[in-house]
Amino acid sequence: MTKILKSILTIILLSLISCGPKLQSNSGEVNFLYKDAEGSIAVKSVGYGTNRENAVIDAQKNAFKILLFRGIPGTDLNVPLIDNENEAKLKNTNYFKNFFEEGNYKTFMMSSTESSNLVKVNGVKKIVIDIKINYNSLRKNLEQNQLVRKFGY
Amino acid sequence: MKKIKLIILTIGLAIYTTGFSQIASTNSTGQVVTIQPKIMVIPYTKEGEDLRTILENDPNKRIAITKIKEGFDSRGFTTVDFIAKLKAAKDNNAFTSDNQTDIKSQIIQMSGADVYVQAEVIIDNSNSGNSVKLILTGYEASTGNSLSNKVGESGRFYTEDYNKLASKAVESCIEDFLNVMQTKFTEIVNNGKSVIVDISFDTNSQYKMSSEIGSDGLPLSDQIEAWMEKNAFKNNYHIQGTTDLKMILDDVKIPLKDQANGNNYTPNKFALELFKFFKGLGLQPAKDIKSNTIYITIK
Repeated sequence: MTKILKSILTIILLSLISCGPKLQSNSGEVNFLYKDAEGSIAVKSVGYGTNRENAVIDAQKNAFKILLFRGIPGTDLNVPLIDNENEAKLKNTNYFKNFFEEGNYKTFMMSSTESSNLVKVNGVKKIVIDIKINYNSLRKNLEQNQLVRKFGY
Repeated sequence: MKKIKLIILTIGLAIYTTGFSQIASTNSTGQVVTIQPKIMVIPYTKEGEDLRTILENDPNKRIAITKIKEGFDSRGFTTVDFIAKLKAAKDNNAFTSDNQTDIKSQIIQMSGADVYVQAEVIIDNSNSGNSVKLILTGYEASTGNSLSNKVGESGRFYTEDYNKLASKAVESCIEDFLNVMQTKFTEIVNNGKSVIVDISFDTNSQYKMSSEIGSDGLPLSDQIEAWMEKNAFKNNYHIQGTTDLKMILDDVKIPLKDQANGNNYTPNKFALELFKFFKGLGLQPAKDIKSNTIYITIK
């Protein structure tokens, strides 16, 4: 009898966990804000996380992912900086580990300001931030690390 | 006698090896840098307009051209300076014709530019403010293939500072223009660059395109096409037209790098292979190369 009860409890617990809030990773919620100087771009990016810090980091990473692999319509960067996402990630695992996990992307971030309050959506925290990115320097870094070809042949 | 033979052989060998080995002072230990295309930015001129006075009298055009060149510089790419070329051409009295279109072609040809970017600056005045529009077009000089096209706009402002407006018009589109051009360059890296092959006959030649030639006795034009099919990079070539006296291939792809050793591959090298092919058919060819156009004349 206790065995049956234990099994039922486990099933209930597991189903509760699976129905819990999910983090929305890799969203495309990055929009162009303005361009005030050559080589830089300001975007509005949405991030999700279990707390404020995680949500902000998610928004920042999201902005860079969109810039690198998707491009931002209506801007000079409407084509992605990196042509082939899968191939680039496969060939440059260390670069992307340093870039996203070790926080190297922050060296290309000129400013990052929260433009909304932290709100709870579907059980997770959501935040909107305005980020200014030095994309000229980012492109040079990608060229130096041979992730993209230099201008020309 | 044996000693003399040995000395002659040693001297001969020394001459041979020094003739073909790389000079120590230029030895890069096998490192190959890809030859980059020469890009020149030129102003747009209407028929009959004097290219020199247009540029000398119009600071807006000069600013637009300088800003475009700045865009290339920011990507680490050096362009051929049009104004300097113009001055050099003037000093050397390079221009022989009064026809302005010819002067433009002469500058392009003289500069050896592979790609030229034409900038047209349009000033628009109205009651709601003034603006400058810019039409940017990038072409491959040899084939005329379009590489990138963009229209830039400064936006309307209540100002007569057209220099600033021209600057803003360039800023609005240069990045995008260069991105599109870079996509085309990547395509060239992957699929080869275009050369034109112009094959004709000397006036005293006994041969024609229909002459049956070679061991298999095929018409010369078919022999040429079979060779192109085999040797154009990725089997990519286009015949513009064939007559009995001429054959023009207006787009033959050649690789940027020699597929065998990784060295740079130039139209000259391709022309040499073509030359050898005609020799192999028992013909007497002469070759001329002008930028990316190969002229073969069969004697």
